[in-house]
Amino acid sequence: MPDFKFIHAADLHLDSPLLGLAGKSADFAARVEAASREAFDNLVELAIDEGCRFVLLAGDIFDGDLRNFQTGLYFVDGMRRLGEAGIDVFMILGNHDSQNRFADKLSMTPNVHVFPKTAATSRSLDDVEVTIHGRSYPRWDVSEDIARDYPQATAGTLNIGVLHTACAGSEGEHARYAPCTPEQLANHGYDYWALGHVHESAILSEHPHIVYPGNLQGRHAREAGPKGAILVTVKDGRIEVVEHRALDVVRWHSASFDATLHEDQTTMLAALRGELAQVGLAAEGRPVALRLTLHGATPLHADMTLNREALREDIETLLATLSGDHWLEKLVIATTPPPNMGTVDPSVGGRLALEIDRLAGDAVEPTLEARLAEIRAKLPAGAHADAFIEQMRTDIPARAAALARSLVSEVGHAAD
Amino acid sequence: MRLTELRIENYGGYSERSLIIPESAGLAVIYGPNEAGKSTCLEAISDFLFSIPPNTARGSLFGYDGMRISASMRMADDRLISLRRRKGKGRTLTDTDGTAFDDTALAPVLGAITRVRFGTLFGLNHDTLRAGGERLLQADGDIGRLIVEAGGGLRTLLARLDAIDEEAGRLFDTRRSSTRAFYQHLDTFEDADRSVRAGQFTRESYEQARKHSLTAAASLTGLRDERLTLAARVARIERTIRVVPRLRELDDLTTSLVAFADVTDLPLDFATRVLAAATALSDAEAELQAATERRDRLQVRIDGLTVSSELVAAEIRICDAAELSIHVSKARGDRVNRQTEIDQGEAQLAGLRRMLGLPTDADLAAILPARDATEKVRALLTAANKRRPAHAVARERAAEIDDTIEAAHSRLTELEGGGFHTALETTSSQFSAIAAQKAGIDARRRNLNDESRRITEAINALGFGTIEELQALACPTPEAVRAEQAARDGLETRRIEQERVKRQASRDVAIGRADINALEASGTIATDNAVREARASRSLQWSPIRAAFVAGTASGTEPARTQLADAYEATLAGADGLADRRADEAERAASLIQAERRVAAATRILNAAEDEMASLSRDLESRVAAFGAAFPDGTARHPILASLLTFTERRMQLFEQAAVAQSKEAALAIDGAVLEPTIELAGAAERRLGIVPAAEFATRMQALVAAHGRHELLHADHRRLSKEVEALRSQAATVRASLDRMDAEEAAFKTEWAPALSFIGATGTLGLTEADELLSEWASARGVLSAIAQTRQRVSRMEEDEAGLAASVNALFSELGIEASTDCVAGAQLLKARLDANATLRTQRDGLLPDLEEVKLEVRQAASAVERAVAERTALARLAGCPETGEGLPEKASRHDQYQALIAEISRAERSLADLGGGLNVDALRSERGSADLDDLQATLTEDRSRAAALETEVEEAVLAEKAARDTLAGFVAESGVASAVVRRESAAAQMHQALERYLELRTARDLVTAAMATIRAEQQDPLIRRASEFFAVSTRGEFQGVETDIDDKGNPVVVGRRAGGGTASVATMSDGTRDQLFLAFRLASLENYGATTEPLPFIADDVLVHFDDDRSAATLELLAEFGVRNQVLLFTHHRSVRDLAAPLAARGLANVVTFEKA
Repeated sequence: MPDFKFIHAADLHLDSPLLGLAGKSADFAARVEAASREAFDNLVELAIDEGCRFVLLAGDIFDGDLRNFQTGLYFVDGMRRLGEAGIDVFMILGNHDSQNRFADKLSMTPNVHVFPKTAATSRSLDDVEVTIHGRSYPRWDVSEDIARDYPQATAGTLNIGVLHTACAGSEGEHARYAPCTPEQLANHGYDYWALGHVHESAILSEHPHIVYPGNLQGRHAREAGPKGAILVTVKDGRIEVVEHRALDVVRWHSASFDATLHEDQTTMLAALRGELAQVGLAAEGRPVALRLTLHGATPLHADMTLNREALREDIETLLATLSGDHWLEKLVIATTPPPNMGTVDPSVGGRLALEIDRLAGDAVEPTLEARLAEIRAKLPAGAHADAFIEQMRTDIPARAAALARSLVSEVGHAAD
Repeated sequence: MRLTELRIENYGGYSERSLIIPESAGLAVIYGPNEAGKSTCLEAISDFLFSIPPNTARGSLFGYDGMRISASMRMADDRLISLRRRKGKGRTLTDTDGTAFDDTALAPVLGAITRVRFGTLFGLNHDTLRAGGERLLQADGDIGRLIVEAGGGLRTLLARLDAIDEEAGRLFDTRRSSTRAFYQHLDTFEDADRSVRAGQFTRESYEQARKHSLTAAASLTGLRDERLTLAARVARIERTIRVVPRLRELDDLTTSLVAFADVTDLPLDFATRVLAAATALSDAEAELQAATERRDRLQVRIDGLTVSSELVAAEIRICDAAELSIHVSKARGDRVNRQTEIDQGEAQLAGLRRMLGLPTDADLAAILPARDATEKVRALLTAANKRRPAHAVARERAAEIDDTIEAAHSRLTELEGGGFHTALETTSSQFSAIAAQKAGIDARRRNLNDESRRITEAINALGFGTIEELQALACPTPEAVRAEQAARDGLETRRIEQERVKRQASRDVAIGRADINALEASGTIATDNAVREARASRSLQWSPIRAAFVAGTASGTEPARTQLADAYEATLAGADGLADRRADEAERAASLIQAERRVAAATRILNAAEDEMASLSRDLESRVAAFGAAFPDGTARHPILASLLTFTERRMQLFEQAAVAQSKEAALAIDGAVLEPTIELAGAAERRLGIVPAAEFATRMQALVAAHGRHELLHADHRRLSKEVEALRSQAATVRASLDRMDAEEAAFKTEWAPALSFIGATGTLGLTEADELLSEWASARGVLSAIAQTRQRVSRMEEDEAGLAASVNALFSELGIEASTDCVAGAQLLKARLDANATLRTQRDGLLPDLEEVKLEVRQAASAVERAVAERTALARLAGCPETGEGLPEKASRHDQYQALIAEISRAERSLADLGGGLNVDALRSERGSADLDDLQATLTEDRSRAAALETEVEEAVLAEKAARDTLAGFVAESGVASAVVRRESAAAQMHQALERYLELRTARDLVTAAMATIRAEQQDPLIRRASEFFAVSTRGEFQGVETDIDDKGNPVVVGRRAGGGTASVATMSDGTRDQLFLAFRLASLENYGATTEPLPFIADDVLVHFDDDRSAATLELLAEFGVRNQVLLFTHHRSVRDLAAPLAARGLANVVTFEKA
C-alpha cells in the first residue's frame, strides 16, 4: 500500500461574516471581508503544497441563509484548482448546506464527489487502497443516528467515514444533529472518522481516529484560537501522523488581565502591553480580534468604570504600538473595588452605595425590560437583535450597578 | 477620634515640628502666620492617616529615609493611641515600642474612609465653602443635592448625572434623530444591507446569463463561417478573371513548336557541343606543333654536359679524408695545451709524495689505496676523536658523585643520632587549637555559674527558695491572665457602653419631655385622646340632665340646675372647641404623639440599659470569684490582675532561663568530654619528645607544638637526604658502566690503528691529526691521477689520426693518377676541390633530364587531343545526320537554339499562370474556369463583394454581443462588492450594539443612583434638617430660627430659611455669607450623623472664616465650638482676628487657641 497524505476539513461557512467588529479603516474592512475566502484559499494551497491525494470536506461548506451564488462559484473554482493538481475531493452536505439554496445544485468539477443524500455509500481509490464512506444530510434537521447505517468496512483497504454529527460529549452549543457516540464510531471498523459540525478542533480517539478539525476561520469572539484543517499522513496503510494546521486569516483571541496589583493606570497599561505582545506572537503575524477582560480587585476600578471609553481608547492606542494588527473587539471591565475589610461606610456616599447594591437586583429588571423592548423594536433584521438583547439582559444589571457605585464613590470629586 | 499631638520629622521644610492639641475643648484654633508650617501640618495629618504617597514632594529637602509623622489620638472610648508613620511600602506604622503594623491598625479609626473621602468630607477651606454656597444657589435649595453635595461631599455627582443624561441622549432614544449615534449606525446598516441585496445573485440568474453567453457565441461562429465561405468564392472568381489572358498566350506558344520537329530530339546541349568540338580541334593541332619544337631544343643541350665516374666512385673516401684533415689540423694546434694540463696535475701530487717519502717521479697510481682502506682509517679516527673528551668527563663525574655521597652520609648519621629518622604518631595541628578550646570551655563554665546564680537570686526575689518550689506553685499562665483581663475589660466596655446608652436615653427622655411640655404649654392640644376625653366628659355631664329632662323630674334648686346646665354647656363648648381645633392642630398633635413615643422608647432603652448594667456587674463579680477559686495561691499572692500578670510573666521567664541554663550545662559537659582524649594524647606526645610539661596549660601546649614542629622539620630533612643518597648511588653505577665501555673501546683502537695506517702508505706512529691530513691528500690525489691519465690518452689518439690521413691521401692520389705535394692535409684539400667541381657538372645534367621527359609527354598529349576532337565532331555529325567531316553542323546547331528559346517562353508563361492562379496548376485553373463567361464572373464577383461588406458589420455586432454576454457572466464571478458591504453591515451592527450597550448601562446606572438618592433623602431628610436647622440658628445669631422644608414651583422639595421675625427666605434671597453658613450647617449635621454610628474623625477647617465679617465669624466659631463638643474641630488660620475672636470661647472653656510660630 503506497504512502500518501490527505486533508480533512469541515465547517468552511464560506462568506460567513465576522461578527462584532466595529470597523476602523479601509484596511480593516479589506482584511475582514476576505477572511473566509482567504482561509479557503489557504486550504487549497496546503493540499497542493503537501501533495495530498485527496481532500475530505465534512459538511457545512456554506451558510444556510446565504443566497449569493457567487460564493458557490468561488468554491467551484477552488475545486477546479485541486482538480488541476490531481487532487480528488470527497464531500458531504451538512445541516447548513441543506438549508442553502444552491449548495446541492453546483456544477462540480470531475474531481469532486458529493456523497448522496439517500443513503450512506462508499467510493474506492484503488491506487492508494482507500475506501471512503459518507452521506449528505437529506434535510437540515437530521435528528436520527445516521452513522449506524454507514457501510461495513472494506477489508484490505483504509476505511474513512465522512460524517456531519454532534458526537456525544463534544456538542457544546451546537445543535444535536445526527447524534452518535465515540464508542459507537470506534467500534464501526473504520480507520478514520472525518467529522464535521463542531467548530472546536478535537481528536476524540486515536486508532481508530475520530477527529473534528474545527472550522476554517473563527467568525466571532467565541470561536477563538487557531482555526484550520487536519493534515493526515498515511504510511504502510496506517494513520501515521495527524496534525492540525492553522489556516485562519484573522485570529480571535480572548485575553484576561489581572489588575489586582495595580494602583496606577500607566503601570497597569505597561504590564498589559507586555502580556498583549505575546498574543501577537501566538497569532504568527495574523491580525487579531481581541476580547479583553480586566479583572481583580483594584483601586483603579471606579476610575476605569467611570471612564470606560477613555480606557478603551488608551488600550486601542496601546494595541496600535504593538507589531501586527490588533483590533479590540470588546473590552470587559470585570474588576472590583478593593475589599473594605468588612467595615461599613456610614457616609452619604457609603449609604448610597449600599442602597445601589440593594436595588441592583430585581429592582432594575422592569425598567430594563421596558428599555430592551424599545430597543428590540428599533433593531433591524439581520442585526443579531435576539442574541444582543439576551446578552444585555445578563450583563447590564451588574455593569450599571458598578457604574452607579463608581459614581457615588469618592473618585473624581474635588474636595469642598 | 481626637488628635492630641502631631509631630513631623524630616518632612517638608522641617527637620522636626510638633503640634500639641489640648483636649480640654473640642475646637482647636491653630493660629500660625504664613510659612509657620500650617499647610505642612494639614498634609501631614492625611499622610499619617493614609500613608505617605510614593511621589510626595515633602521629601525634597531631607529625602525619604528619615521622613516620619507621629500622632496621638484619643478614641471615643477614651483610649489613647500613639503611632508613627514612615514612608515606604508594607508595614509603615509603628507604635511607641517600635513594633511595626500595617494600615489595618488604623481601621478602627478610619472605618471605610479613604484619603479622598476624608478630604472631601472632613476638610473645608474658604474656597470650597464658597463654592458650596454657590452651588446651593444654583440648586435653589434642592434637598437631594444638599444631602449628597453638602452632606456627602459628592460635589460633582449631580453634574455627572446630567452628563450621563446628555451622553445617553446622544446615543439613543425612541425618537429617531440623525444626531444620535444609534441612528447614524442604523443608516449605515440599512445602506450596506441594500448594497448586499443588490450585489447578490441567484443560481437561476447565473444559469440564464450562461445560456445567453453560449447563444451569442454560437451566433458569432455561424457568421464567421459564412464570411469565410464567401471570401473563398470571391478569391476563386478573382483568380479566374486574372488567369484567362495568360491561358490564351500559352496556347499560342504551344502551336509554334510544330515548326521545329527536326531538332526536337536533339539533346539540349547540342549547339554548345558542336561549337566546343570545333574549337577543341583547332586548339589541339596548334599545341602539337609547339611541343615537338621544344623537345628537340632540350636534347641538344643535354648532350653537351660530361661527368667523371672515377671521382663519383671515390666520393665517400675523399669526403672522409677531407673531414679527418680538419681534425688533424686542429690537433696540431692543441697539443701544447694538453702537455700543460699534465704538468699541472703532477705538481698537485708533489705534497703527497713528500708525506709518503717518495721521489718526485714516483708512480702514485700504482700505490693508490683502496676505498675500503681509507674508510677504515676514517672510521677509527672519527670514533677516537668523539670518545676521548667524553671519556675524560665521565672520569670527573664519577669522582664528584663519590664526594657528594660521602657528605650526605655524615649528615644522615648525625640526624639518626638525634632520633629524627622516625616520624611522630601525632601532628602539631592536633594541639594548636586545644589551648583555645579549653580556655573557651572554662569561660563558658564561669558564665554559666554567674547565670545560675542570677536565676537563683531572681527566684529568691520572688519569694521562693528553688525553681522547683516556683514550679510547684498553682498559678495561671500569662496568656490566661491576659485572657482574664481581656474578658473583664470586655465586660467593662459593655458596661460603659450601656452607661452611654443610658445617658443618651436619659437625654432623649428629657428632650422628649421638654418637647411635650413645650407643646402643651399653650393649652390642651386637640389630640384624639383629648377630644375623646372631652366628649366623654360632655356625655357624663349630659346624662343626668337628659334623664331628668326625659323623666320631667329635674331635681334640685334652680341655681343648682343652672349650674349643671352651665357646666354641661362648658363641657359641650370644650369638646366642640377641641374637635374644631383638631384639624388645625393635627401637626402639633402628631408632634406630641411622636414626642410621647420617643419618651416611651427612650424610657424602655433606659430601663434595659440599667438591667444590662446590673447583669454585667454581676457577671464581672462572678468572673473575679471564679478566677480566684481557680488559682488561689497565685491570686492570694497577687490579688491585682496587672501584678499577677507581671508575676506570671517573670515566672515564665525564669522557667525559660533555667531551661536554657540547663541545656548550656549539658552542652558544656559534652564539649569537655570531647576535649579530654586530645589532652591525654598531648601528654603522650610530650613524653615521646622528651619535654618536661610546664605548669601553665597554654605554655605547655605552646612548647609541645613548637617541639612537634621542629621534629617534623628535621624528620623531613632526613627523608629528603635518604632519597638523595639513593638517587646518587644509582647515578654512580651508570657513570661507571659508561667508563668501562670507553676503556674497552680505546684498547681496541690501539690494536687496529697501525695496520690500518699501513694500507694508506703510512707507518704506525702517525698521530690522529697527521693521519687526518694524509687521508685528505689521498682523497684529492685520486681525482688528479685520473685526469692526468685521460689527457695522455687524448695525445696518443691525435698521433694515430695524422698517420691514418697520410696513408689514405696517398692511396687516392695513386688511384686517380694525381701528381701532387706530400703533406697529407693539403692533399686531402685538393681532392675535395676536384670532387666538388665534378659534382656541379652532374647537377646541371640531372636538372635538365626531367624537363626533357615532360616535353616528350606534352607531345604525346597534344596528339591525343587532336584525335579526341576529330572523334567528337564525327559523333555529332552522325547525331545530326550530317557527313562525318562535319559539313552542315553549324546550321543544325542554330535551329536547335531557336527551339530551346520557344520552350523557355512556354515555361515562363506557365509560371506566370501559377503565380496568378494562387498555386493551382494549369489544368486546375482551366477546370476552375470551365465554360464560364468573363462577364458572368464579373457580375457574380460584384454581388459577392457586396454581401461580404454587409457580413463584416454583422460579425462586428455579433462579436460585441458575445463579449457583452461573456462580460456579464464574468461579472458574476468577479468581486461584486457584496463582501465589503457585508463587512460594513456587520460593522454597523457592532457599532449599534456598542451604542445601545453604553446607553443601557448609563440609563440603568442613572436610575439606580436616582432611586438610591430618593431613599437616602427619605431616611435622612428629617433628622438632617432638624440638626442643620439648629446649627444654622446658632451661626446666624438668631437672624434665622432655622430651616424648614418647602416645595418649589416644580414640585421639588427644597429648604428655606425661617426668619426670626416670621416668614421664610428661599436660598436665592439669602446673602452669600448666609448661604455659606447654611452649607456649613448641613455639612456639620451630616458629619455628626456619621459620628453617631462610627468613630468620629476631626473636622479640619482651613481659614474658612476669611470672607465673613467679625460678627458672622464669631457666630461661626460658636457653631464650630458646639459641633466640637461631639466632634473635634481643627481650625487652621493665619488671621490674627480669628485668633482674637476665639479668645472669649477659650475663656469659657469651649475652645483652645494653639499658636504655631515660625520654625
